[in-house]
Amino acid sequence: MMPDAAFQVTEQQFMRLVGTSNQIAQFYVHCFTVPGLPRSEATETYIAHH
Amino acid sequence: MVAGGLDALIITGANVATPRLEQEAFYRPLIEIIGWASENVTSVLCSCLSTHALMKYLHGIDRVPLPLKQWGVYNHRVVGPHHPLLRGINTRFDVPHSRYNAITRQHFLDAGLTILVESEEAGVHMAVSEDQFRRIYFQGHPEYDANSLLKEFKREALRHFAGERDMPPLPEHYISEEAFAILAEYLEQASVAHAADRPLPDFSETDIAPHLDNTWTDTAKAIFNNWLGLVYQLTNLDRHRPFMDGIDPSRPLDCLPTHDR
Repeated sequence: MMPDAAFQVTEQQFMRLVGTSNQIAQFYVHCFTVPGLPRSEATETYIAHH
Repeated sequence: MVAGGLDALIITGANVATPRLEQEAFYRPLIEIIGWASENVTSVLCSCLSTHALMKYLHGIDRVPLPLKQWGVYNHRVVGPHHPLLRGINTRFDVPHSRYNAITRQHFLDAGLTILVESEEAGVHMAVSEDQFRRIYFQGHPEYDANSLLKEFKREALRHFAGERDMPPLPEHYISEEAFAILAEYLEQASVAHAADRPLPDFSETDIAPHLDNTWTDTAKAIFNNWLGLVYQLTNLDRHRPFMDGIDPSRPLDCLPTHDR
């Protein structure tokens, strides 16, 4: 739900916390967004490729 | 939604564009997700604005605007030391905050939630739902990088020079003396350039960053480690079922051995 300016960096920050915190349990990570928020073409493309 | 459910779900913050959260474009999809998650996800972690939105939706509590933006790196203390999410962590540690609004301590208590971590200066950082595990609420930003607040300051300072706002205050307890010296020099040069209608000098982020400290990530990782470990322990192998057999979803941590609670 973060705005474009912080969209990818927030995803990376949480991925890093999840990925580096637990050395035993393995998780598949699925990324989601919600519809209706204003997005640039670049962010729309990024979301579509995810 | 994901067919078969999820073990855990992290909901990030968002920017607001309207005076009331329930008017925001994300609000309706968010409450649909929360309704779905109550049946299909073992534990949901809410960050900052999503915490505020859920407090409104689930408990009818409106966040309160703060007189000034609360931003900086604040000292916190564990107030629920026996909670399994806080097992083995420091009892005093830092967490960054960055927000214009707050859910107060009393709000959390009125909603029947349990406060786990709070700060004298910044208020409640972490609380859990009445069942102690299915919803975890953060108001701070333990996920931030060392330079996240610097980047936010840069964005706001540039908005000031673009005439969109007044000069933002510095994030509290974050800018070291060395960083401040570089920052002050930049702001002075930028002010002179702005007054003379000349292009602004480059914001020297890479010069400032080495003088900033990260004092929160170790503890953030320890809390995430506990959270994910508990999710792994409590979640059913069958993705259609959030909990292992015999676990009461209204008190999921009761199944843990007494010394783990």
